Amino acid sequence: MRERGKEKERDYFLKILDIIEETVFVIDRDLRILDLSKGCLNKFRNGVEREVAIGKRCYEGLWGLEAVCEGCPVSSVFEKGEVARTERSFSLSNGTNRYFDIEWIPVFDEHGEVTRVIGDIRDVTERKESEEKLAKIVDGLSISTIVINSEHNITHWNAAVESLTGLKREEVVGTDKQWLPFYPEKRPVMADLIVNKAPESEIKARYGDKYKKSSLIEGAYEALDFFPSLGKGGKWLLFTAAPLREPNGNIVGAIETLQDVTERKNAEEKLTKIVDGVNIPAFAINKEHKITHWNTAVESLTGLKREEVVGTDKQWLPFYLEKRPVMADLIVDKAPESEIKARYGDKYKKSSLIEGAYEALDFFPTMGEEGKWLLFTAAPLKGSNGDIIGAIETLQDVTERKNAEEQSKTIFEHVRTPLCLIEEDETITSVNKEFEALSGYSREEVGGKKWTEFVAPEDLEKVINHYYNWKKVESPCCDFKFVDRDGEIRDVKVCIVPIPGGKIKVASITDLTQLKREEELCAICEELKELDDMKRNFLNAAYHELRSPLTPIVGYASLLKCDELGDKQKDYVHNIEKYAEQLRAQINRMLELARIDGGEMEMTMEDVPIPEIVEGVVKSFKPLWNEKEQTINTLVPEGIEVRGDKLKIIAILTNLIVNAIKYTYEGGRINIMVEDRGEDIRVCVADTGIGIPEKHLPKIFERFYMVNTSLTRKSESLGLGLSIVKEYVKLHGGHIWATSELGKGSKFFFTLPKKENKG
Amino acid sequence: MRKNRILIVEDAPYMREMIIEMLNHAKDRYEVVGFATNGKEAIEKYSELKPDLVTMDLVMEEMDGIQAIRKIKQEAPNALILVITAMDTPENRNMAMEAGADGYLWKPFTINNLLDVLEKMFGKD
Repeated sequence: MRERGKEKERDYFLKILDIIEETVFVIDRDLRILDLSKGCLNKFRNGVEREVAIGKRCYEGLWGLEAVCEGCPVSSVFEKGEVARTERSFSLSNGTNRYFDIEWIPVFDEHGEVTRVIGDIRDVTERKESEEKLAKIVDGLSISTIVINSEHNITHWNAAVESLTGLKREEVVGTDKQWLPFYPEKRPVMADLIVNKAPESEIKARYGDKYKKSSLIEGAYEALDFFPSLGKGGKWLLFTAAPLREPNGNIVGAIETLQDVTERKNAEEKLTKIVDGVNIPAFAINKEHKITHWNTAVESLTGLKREEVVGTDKQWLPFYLEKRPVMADLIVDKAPESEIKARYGDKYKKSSLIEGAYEALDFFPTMGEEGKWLLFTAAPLKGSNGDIIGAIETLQDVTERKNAEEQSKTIFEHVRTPLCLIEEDETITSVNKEFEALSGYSREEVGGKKWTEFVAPEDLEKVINHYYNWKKVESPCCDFKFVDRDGEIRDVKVCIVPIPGGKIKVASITDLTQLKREEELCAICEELKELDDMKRNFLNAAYHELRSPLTPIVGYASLLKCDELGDKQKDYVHNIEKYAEQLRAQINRMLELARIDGGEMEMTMEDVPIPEIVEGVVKSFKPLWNEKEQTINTLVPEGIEVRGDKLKIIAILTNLIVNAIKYTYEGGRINIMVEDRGEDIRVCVADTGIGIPEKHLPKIFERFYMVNTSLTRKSESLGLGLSIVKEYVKLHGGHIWATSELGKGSKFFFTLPKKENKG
Repeated sequence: MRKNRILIVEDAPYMREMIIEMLNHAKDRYEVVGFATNGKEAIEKYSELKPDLVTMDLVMEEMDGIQAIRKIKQEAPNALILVITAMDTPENRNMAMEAGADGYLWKPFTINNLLDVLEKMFGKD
C-alpha cells in the first residue's frame, strides 16, 4: 500500500514535470538527472527526448555541456539538507553566454535522508547584465553614488563615495551600513525609505523642509542637509535617491547620489552676509536664474520684499514692464559682449575692477514717481573650479546726481554765453548753442578740434603763454582775436576754469566785438537822451519866453479898458484880450505836455469823490451850455470814489465836457455816465454833436491833430487838449478811447482804477 | 484912511511900471513906496521902508524870491507878501506857501486880478 502510494506520488510528480513550463530538474546523490521538466527540454535542449537527458550528469543533461562543477554547492545540500544557490554563467552550445540562478532544494525520504535534490533554474542574464552595467556606471560616476538592493544591502559604493565617506567598498558592500558615515546610529537613509516605499509623510517626518520631490525622476526625492560627522567640521550634502525597478515595475533597490555642496553653501552663506550686510541695494541669482539674495536696501529701492521674490526669477519685475534678462542674468548666461551691447547700447562698460563684471547706467521710467537713474554692476559668482554658479548685482540710485547733471547740461546748453568743454589735451569735447553761433561751426564739426585753432595766428603766442602759466597769473581770462568759420575776426575774452573733480576745463567766451557795439549803442542812446533833454529844456525856456510878453499885453489891455474908450476901441481891446488868452492857454498846454514828457509831473493822490466832481464841473460850465440851450444829464453811482489827483481828474472831465458842449448843436443833449466796475470806474461823456469820422478816431488823442481844419478856427485850439487828457488818464493807470457816429455824436470813455496804481 | 504901503520886487522894468500904473488906479488905497530888483535888495528895502505888503517875483538874480520871502518872514512874521510869477506850477506854489507867502498871482494878469487879490489880502486883517 505504501509502495503503491509512493509509486503514485511519483507518477503525479512526473506528470507535473512533463507538463510544466518551469525549468526544474531532479538529481540523485551521484548528481545524475533523474528527471526534468518539459520547460527544461524546450528551453535548453530544443525539445530533445527526455530519455536522452536522463541519467546524464546535470549540466551535460541540461545543456549538453561538460560538467564544470567546481564550487557547486549541491554536495553540501545532500549532506546538510539545506537549500543552496548557484549563480553563474554558462557558455551555451549556441554560442551565447547565459547567466543562471539555480536554487537547490533538498528532498527528504522517510528517514530524513536527502535522497535527491531539485534544481530550480532561472535565467537571470538580463538582470545580471543590467547589474553589471549599473556597477560600471556607478563606479564610473564622479558623483558619490550608493546602490542598495531590496534587502537594504549595499550593492554599489563607488570611488567618489569612498573618498567622501572614507569607507572602502570592501567594508560596506553586502552590508546595510549605508547609514554609517552619515549618522551616529543606525537609521534608514533616503534610499532605504525609497526601497520601503515609505509614504511622503514619513519622508517629511525624517527630513522636514529640507527635502523635495524630484522633478525629473518619478518616485525620487532629493534633500539638502548638513552632516556634522563628515569631513572636518561637517559637510553639506545634496542627495537624491531614486528607485531601481524591474521591467515589471517592482522596486528592487534604490540608487542614491550625494553631492558635496559645502563649498557652495559656505559661499552662499558668506554671500548672504555680504549682500545683507551692505547698505547698497544688492541681489544675487543662481545658475538657474533664481533669486537667492535680496537685501534690505534693494527692498526699499524696489518696494519688493524678499519673501515675494527669493526663489523666483522676477529680478526684472521692479525695473522693466515685461520679463527680460537683467545684467546678472546675462552674466550667468555668459552672454557675449555683443549681446550686452545690444541690450544696453553705449550705457554699459566693462568693470575695471572685477573680471567678467559689467556696469551700466540707465533710466528706469517705471520706478518711483518720476523714474530713477540707476548705476548697476553685475559680477559673476564662481565655484572653486572657476565655473559661474550665479551672479551678484548691485544697484545705486543716482537719480539726484543725474538730475543735477541734467540741470548743469541744461544750463550749459541754454546760457546766453558761448561755452565749451576742453579736455586735458586741449581738444574741445562739447560746445553749446551760443558757441555754435559764435564760431559758425556745428557741434559735430567742433568736436575734436583744439581750442587754440580758434585763436588768430598773431595772438597765438600770447594766448599760449598766458594759459601755460595761468596758475601764476591772477586771472584765468585772456583777450584775443577769435577766428570764426568764415575767417571773420572777433575780439573776445576767454576765461578757462577747471571743473572740480575732473581734468576737464570749461571755457566761457565773451564777445567783446558785440560788447563794443553795445557800448557804442549805449553811448548813442545817452547822446540822444541828452539831446532830448536839451530839446525839452529849450522848449521849456522858449514857452516861458513866449509867455513873458503876454503879461504886459494882458496887463496893459486891462489898463486900457479903465480909460474912456469908443465902441470900436472897446472891440479892439476885447480882441487883444481874447487872443492873448488863447495864446496863454496854448502855451500853458504845451508847457504841461513838456512837463509830462520830462517826467516832472507830480501826482497828489487823495480819495476823489466822483459825483461831486462831475456835479462841480457841469455846474461851472452852466453859462456855456445854457447859452446853447443844451441839457446835460448825469448818471453817477452815489458815493463812488477813486484814488487820484483831484485837479487832474477835474481837468480830464472839464476838457471832455467842454468839448462835448462845443461840438454839440444848439439844443442838443449831453449824457455823462459813470459805471462802477469793481476794480475801476468807467466814465462816458456822450454828445449829440457832429461826430468824428472813423478813420480819425485812433488819432484824436495824438498831439497837434485836428479832425477838420475848419474846426481849428472854430474850436480855437491846436488840439493839445485831448493829448493832455490822455496823459492824465495814463498817469492814473487808466485808459481812454472814443466811439463815434457821424452826424449823431461821439462817446468818450475813460477808466480810472479805484486803487492807486504804482507803475 | 491910511494908504497901504507897497514895495514892488521885480527885475523887469516894464513889469514894475505896469504894476505902478495899475496901482495908480487905486491911489486912494495903495501907495507904492519903493522897489527892488532882486531878493537881496528886497530884504534891505523891507528893513528900510517897513511896507505893509511886498509884491515878489520869484525868478531873479542875486537872491531868488523864495529865499527873500523866508528872510522877510523871519524878521517880520506879519509882513504880507504877494507872489507874482509866471512859473505857476504846483511845486512853485507849494514852495512859496511854505516859505510864508500870503497871496499868489500868476502872470499874465489884469488890473482887476491884481486889485482883487490885494483886497482879499488886506481884507483878512
